[in-house]
Amino acid sequence: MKRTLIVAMGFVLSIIGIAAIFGGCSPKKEVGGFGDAAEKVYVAPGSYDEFYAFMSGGFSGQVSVYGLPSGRLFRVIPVFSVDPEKGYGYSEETKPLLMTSHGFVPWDDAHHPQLSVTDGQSDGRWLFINGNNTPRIARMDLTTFETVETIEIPNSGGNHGSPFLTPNNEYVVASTRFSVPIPQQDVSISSYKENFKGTITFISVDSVTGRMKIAFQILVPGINYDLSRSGKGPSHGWSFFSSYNSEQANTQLEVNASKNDKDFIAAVNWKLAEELIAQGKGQDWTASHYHNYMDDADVGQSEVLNSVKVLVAKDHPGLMYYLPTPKSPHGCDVDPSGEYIVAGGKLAALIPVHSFSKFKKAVEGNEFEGEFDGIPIVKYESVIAGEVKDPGLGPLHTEFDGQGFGYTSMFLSSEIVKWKIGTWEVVDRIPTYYSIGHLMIPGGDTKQPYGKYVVALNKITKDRYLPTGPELTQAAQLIDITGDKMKLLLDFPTIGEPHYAQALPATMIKDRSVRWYPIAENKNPFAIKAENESRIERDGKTVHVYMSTIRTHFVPDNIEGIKVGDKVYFHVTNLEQDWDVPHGFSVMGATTSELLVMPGQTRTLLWEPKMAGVIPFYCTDFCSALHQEMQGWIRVSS
Amino acid sequence: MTLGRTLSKVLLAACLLIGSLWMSGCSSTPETDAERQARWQQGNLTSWEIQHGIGPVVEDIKLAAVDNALAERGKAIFVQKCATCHYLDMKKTGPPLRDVAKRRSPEYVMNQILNPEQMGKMHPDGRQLVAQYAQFMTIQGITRDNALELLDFLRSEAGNPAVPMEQQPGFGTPPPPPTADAK
Repeated sequence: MKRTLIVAMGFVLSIIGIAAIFGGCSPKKEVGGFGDAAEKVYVAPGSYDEFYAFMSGGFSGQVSVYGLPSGRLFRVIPVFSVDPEKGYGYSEETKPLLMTSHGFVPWDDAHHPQLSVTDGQSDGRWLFINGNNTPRIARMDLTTFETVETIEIPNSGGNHGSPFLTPNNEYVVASTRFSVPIPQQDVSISSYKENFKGTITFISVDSVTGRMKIAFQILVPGINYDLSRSGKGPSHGWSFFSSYNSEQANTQLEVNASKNDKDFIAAVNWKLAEELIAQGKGQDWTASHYHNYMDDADVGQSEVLNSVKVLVAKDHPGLMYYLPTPKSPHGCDVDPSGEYIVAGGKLAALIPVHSFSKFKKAVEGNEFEGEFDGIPIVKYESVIAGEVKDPGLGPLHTEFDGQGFGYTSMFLSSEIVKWKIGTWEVVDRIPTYYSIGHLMIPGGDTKQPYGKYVVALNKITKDRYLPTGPELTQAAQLIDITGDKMKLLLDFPTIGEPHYAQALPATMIKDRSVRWYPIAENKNPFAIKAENESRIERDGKTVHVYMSTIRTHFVPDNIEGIKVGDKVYFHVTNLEQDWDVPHGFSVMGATTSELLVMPGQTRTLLWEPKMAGVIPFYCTDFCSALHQEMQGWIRVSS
Repeated sequence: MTLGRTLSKVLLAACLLIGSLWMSGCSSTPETDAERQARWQQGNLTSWEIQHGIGPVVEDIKLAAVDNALAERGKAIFVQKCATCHYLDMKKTGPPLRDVAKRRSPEYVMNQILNPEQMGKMHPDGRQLVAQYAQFMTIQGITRDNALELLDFLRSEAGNPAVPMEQQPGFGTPPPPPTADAK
């Protein structure tokens, strides 16, 4: 009997032992030689990512929103683009956001998202992005992830160095990549040196509403102002701009704008500019430009403004200096302390780093080597803090980890190079696939970076994904920077060309997300608050249909009396008061798109019937089991 | 054999002991919200909950006579938030509500208004209605005070004779076929 007991116990123990070996002590699985990368980017079903990342959509004119570390796409925000999925740019409420002095411009090239900042750190309230082609800046509200404002920048050609923020959103700063005659005039292109100018625009941001307004523009010598960062800490009050084409070439720039050994970082004292404007030193220039915004009733409004205050840089000593910088610099990045200004000289074999304290001393000591078009040039040796030697080929942009290191993207040699601030020595490098442009560390341009990951934003994908014809997906790569060696974790596709991106901890945004709009607070002039308010009003050839929608019907759902040649406005109010229950609305033959109406919101579709008959309409967003029943008809009479 | 029998006796005794400790532990402390939610998730509803619904109302409500002022406010809410889907005397998106305050307890009505999603998923009667109407009742952002007002409105209507639709402006009438004809 005893023996049986011992055998039984032994059996049980060995089972436990085997279970322990197979359960707890098995070696970790490696996937494709990437170590524990899969574990580091895996966000379990139903769990949340640690960071929101906002990526520019480049020539798609959009912003896309991803989670990090998973690389999952959550949302595409149309900005300088129409988006039939959301009715953006098609609904009467949102059309005004795309108005410019050139008319309705439903596209732009969006490069640089910038999160709003408080005391030099992302505060999670708004996201700004530039339109490069028809110079504009947009603001998105991060409680709704919608574009709520756009402002056109007059006296500009190529709004590339934009929108870079001062440390408390005092200004959104925008500089011109393409100099043009300012004000515009009909002159020979070969008169570039004589007639072409650049501008640097300072747009104020209301600290409560976020509303933008052009505060002033600075007229600067006619070269290309490419990218910018504002100073912080000791350099607060200054903004820095990389510039190239100091040759002032107007043709074959690839050769003619690459001749000089050094171009410039331009340093602009915006605190002084503020004082000069306050003293009335600004000139009033006629400059028609559009300002478009969603008003308190969530209806887009356009206003046309006709003048701007202009300071001519060379007329105001101390306002602007040039820091010589090799060679055709692109990026212009300020380190978390505010002391160092790092230039990515894309044709240079080194990364020059300027010192702000040395720059101030040099200015005080008159250490100038000359002037360019009336702007003093500080001596290179007097401002340079150090050079990162032999970093790789084609340095472009630098972000910081807050641990004393800079990370610079190398376009030509397709890699990220990590170097130490102060000693300027390269400590690590990692290949990217391929041709990296910008790179982004969450908060990597702020006072306190979250130095956990760097995201490589690549220009070329080649063989990284299944082929999709001649055009391939754009792509990003997530790299772990917590150790001494950078480690590639994940490739993920992006929408459009991801020029720059920004990221911040999800906790700063997620709990403030709007879930629905209280119907009682809907101030749209065409809103209805209850189904029994739905009605149709005719005013000559214009018909307003005040329509309600809720699971699972429209009121009205039978409409008669519409005539060919009428302009019919469907004002659709979604009466739902619950999260994630938008309703769609579409009419056969409408030349716009559907509407997508959030709970408690009103959106308007214009339809101009062209033939007599009975036309169906329906809900486009699958809302419930009886979604297919959500339909109606409109009788059109001749 | 004897060993086997002894072992099984010991095991049985241990199980009973653990079981009784666990049971007594449960019954001596009030159920937490999380425990209640977990129980509903499993479909284990008490007889009180079967009768009175599941939601924020977990105890009997003591009702006074219908308060006309409350009922008036309830009617306004009904017109705005409920009439989208309910008539009093005929089916619409959801069931007719003329007699609901007679058919159902006040607690049940309150829970249905305040917790429509769980009522539709976890309460047997709620599930049956969802199956019948192919629709969950929508959340309309109604507060507990609003629900009490609605309750008094529904109580004031309960037992009244059906009213022809055209005499119920606001919440009873199917809208007249609208037309954009010039007047």
